[in-house]
Amino acid sequence: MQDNSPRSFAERPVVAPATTQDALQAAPHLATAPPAGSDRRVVDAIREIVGPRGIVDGASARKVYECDGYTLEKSVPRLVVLPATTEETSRVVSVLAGAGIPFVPRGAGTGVSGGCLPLQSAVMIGTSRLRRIRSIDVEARTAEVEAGVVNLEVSRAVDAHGLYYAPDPSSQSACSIGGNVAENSGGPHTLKYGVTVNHVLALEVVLPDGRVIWLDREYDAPGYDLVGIFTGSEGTLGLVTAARVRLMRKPESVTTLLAVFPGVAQASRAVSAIIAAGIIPAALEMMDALVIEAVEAAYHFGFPAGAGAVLLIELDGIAAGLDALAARVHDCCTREGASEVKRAAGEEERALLWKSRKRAFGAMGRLAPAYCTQDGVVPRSRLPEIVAKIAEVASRYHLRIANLMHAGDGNIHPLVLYDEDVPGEVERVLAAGNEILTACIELGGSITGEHGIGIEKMALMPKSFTAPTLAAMEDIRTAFNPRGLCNPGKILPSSRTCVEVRRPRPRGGG
Amino acid sequence: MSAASAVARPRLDPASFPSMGPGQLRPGRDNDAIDGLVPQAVITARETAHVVATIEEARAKKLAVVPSGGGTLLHVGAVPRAYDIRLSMTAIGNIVEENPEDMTVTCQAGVSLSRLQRSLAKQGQRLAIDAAREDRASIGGIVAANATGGLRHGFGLPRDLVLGATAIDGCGREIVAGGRVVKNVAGYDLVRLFAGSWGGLAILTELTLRTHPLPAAAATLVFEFVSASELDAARSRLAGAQLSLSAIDFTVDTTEAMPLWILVVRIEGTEEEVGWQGDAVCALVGRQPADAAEEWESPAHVDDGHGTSVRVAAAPQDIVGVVRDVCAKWKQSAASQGGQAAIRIAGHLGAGIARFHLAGAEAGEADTASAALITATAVGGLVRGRVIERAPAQLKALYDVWGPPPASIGLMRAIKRRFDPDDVLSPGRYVGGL
Repeated sequence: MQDNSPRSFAERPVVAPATTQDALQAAPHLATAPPAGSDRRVVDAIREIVGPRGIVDGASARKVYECDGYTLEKSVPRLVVLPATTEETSRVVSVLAGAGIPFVPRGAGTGVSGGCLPLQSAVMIGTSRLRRIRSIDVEARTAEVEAGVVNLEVSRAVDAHGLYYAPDPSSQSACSIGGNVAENSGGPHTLKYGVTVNHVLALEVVLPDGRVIWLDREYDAPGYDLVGIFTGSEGTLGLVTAARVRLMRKPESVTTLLAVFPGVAQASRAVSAIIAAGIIPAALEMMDALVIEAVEAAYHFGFPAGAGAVLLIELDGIAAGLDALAARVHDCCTREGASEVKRAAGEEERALLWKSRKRAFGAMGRLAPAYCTQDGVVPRSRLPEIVAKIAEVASRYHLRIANLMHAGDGNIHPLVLYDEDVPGEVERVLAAGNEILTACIELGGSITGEHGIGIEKMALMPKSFTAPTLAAMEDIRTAFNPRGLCNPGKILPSSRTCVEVRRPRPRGGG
Repeated sequence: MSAASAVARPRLDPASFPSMGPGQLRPGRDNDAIDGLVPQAVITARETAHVVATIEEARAKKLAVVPSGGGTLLHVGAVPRAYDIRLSMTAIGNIVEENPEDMTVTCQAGVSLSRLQRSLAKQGQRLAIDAAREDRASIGGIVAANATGGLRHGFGLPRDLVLGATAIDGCGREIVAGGRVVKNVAGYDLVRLFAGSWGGLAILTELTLRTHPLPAAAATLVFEFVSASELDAARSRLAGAQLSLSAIDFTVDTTEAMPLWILVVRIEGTEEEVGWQGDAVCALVGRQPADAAEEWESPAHVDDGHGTSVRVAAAPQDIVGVVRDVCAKWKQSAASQGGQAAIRIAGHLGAGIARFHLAGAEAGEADTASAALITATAVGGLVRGRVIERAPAQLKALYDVWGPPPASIGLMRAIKRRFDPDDVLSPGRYVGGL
């Protein structure tokens, strides 16, 4: 585990590497196709379009692309293409569509549900060379950026104008805007400001037949909200090449509080109390004892020893009234049993608190050789119940589960710690994760708040949606992607293009 | 009588609805008409099964169904290709579940916005949506139309507040989209597909929406300017400030000899926030308000149920200039044609939206004046979008009332074909003939 990795956990959990070989034995459909040798003409045509820099065809170079942050399943793409412009992307997709070859879009590879895993010998199209910020309109507060632009680069580019791009996934220093659109990414500050879909005005996309089209809802454009349906479609409806995004004016004032609780039960009651009091913080995050322990061991932030849970609460807005709001939040926490509520004294302390949160994933390596991140949502008032359920599941499966959550949204991230060398442990990890997500559904929630379905959670879709609803989703895919060539085998288990994905056997497992 | 209604339509058979009680199915009347087309029947659904039965009958007989809530926006849309059944959803209007702790509410589509607001207010909450005629406008209709008021500035569009939706599509399928939680990325976001689809893909039956706390304090400040440029200067200063305003609307009444350009700012929050922001707004605008109130009603709801209404969209920094230009053009043409009618204009400065309303006048005169307004608001230059929301049917038939179809119309048609293969839901009423 690299503590200084800029990619924090949420988007890059380091899950128990069953080896690729093991994975392939268990899941032969993932076997690497011969590197397009049989499609020589197609490769030549693509090389002609993107030039030598835009082709990755060596075996070891391609291996880099075998998975995203979801590492339980891997597949080396037969070919990786890195177009540098929308036009190149369009021409590449046209060639592939003409040859009937499936393809899978990939951003920065920070996804955590296997959304860009190449199945069915798909060719991978990476957006890493689509890196231009095409325009910034300060007065209208919009920017047009290409898909490969890193999330944080957008905010940096407009910082001098007092603006920023609001969605801030933990991986924001690595993840790309195109990937954010595909996954409808969230982040700690989505509680008040919404997720990616709330910040995208228009999308330039390459459809699965190679046509370039703008989906546009700016100026209250009439028509179905195709930007809304495309955002979060996990690369199954087409490939984003650019997005026009909304920029936000930085709030006049920000204050961050840290509340320490004896346990997660009290902390989650405080979350409910804050929301019920009509306060909408900019962020409301929870870390439990295990996470605190890991963070302390790694960074020594000075969290009180023996804290059962902490809430990180950020309030923003106009300066007037922020003190009063902070006092109310303080009261809510104290009433629910907080032993201590600290307010960051300045920007430095505030930054330190956020560092502890954003690096928490990286710190988990202190506690176990590997961990598996789950992503589920419950109605905010049911947090105490899901927290109790997680503890019960952990004890029944003899696993340690740490809890990191976007508590204000009811978005939980249980981190199931394990050791792949312990026989049977991976199976127990997967079963425990399944139980927790099923409990989320039963509590009226969702199986994913921000990580997506990908291949990881396809099997849970029928538990989440009725058959007619899944059929309606299938209709959407067919309308955009009639031949199923774009990112086959994802999201919908019923898909005719879907192949059965089996779990690899863990090393040493039974 | 319009040409379309003269075409013989397949007949609806009342015997196809054995489950419906007395009064649920009645013949259409003149006041049910859309663009002069009177439906054969008006069906009042009392449960989801009635919606399904209506769609099945419509599919079997190739009949056209237009769903309606409070009917406040039924006039919006292109002249229907056909209109056989008006399906009223107002009797499916219960509040299913209020979850104040989760800040969500689940309700049936037919509930009126004002009833929902009254109920939520008892819990200290509200839906951050304002609409015209809230006592009639149904939540289903508001979401289907993605209809906005001034609060869009602070809280976004209705589609941003919908977490889940149950709907019956044109195949008769009951689709349960989204959920009851504020964050959810499982599968394709069908909620967003239905929001703003004007009932052309599916008929909403139940919705779960995000609620907001009722503000502890609020103020509506009204400022008057004698010129468009003064209003625009105030808009620009407010737009550049680090404020958290709920609405920035404007209105101008050209019926006045010396029209006043009026800015209406809505501020909400704690006592302290409202007081501080009120002072800040006055300082930025450079004057004291001409009027102040605690209540809020967006001035943008200028459509009085008659006449002609046109909505125009532009970049926020251009909208005041656009309004001034349209006024000048319209006056020139109307004056040259001897028209006397005046227009009321209002809109949302933050979003760049303006609505021009020409009150009803004598038939011939109204047509001339309406045509002049439509000409004056044509898309081009700084005008980025234009919707003819209300107009005489014969004029509507001459124009793309939604504007030219977007580049993505092919995808929209592909979706329409899958969700409504027999074209029974509001056929022809939406953009590009959807």
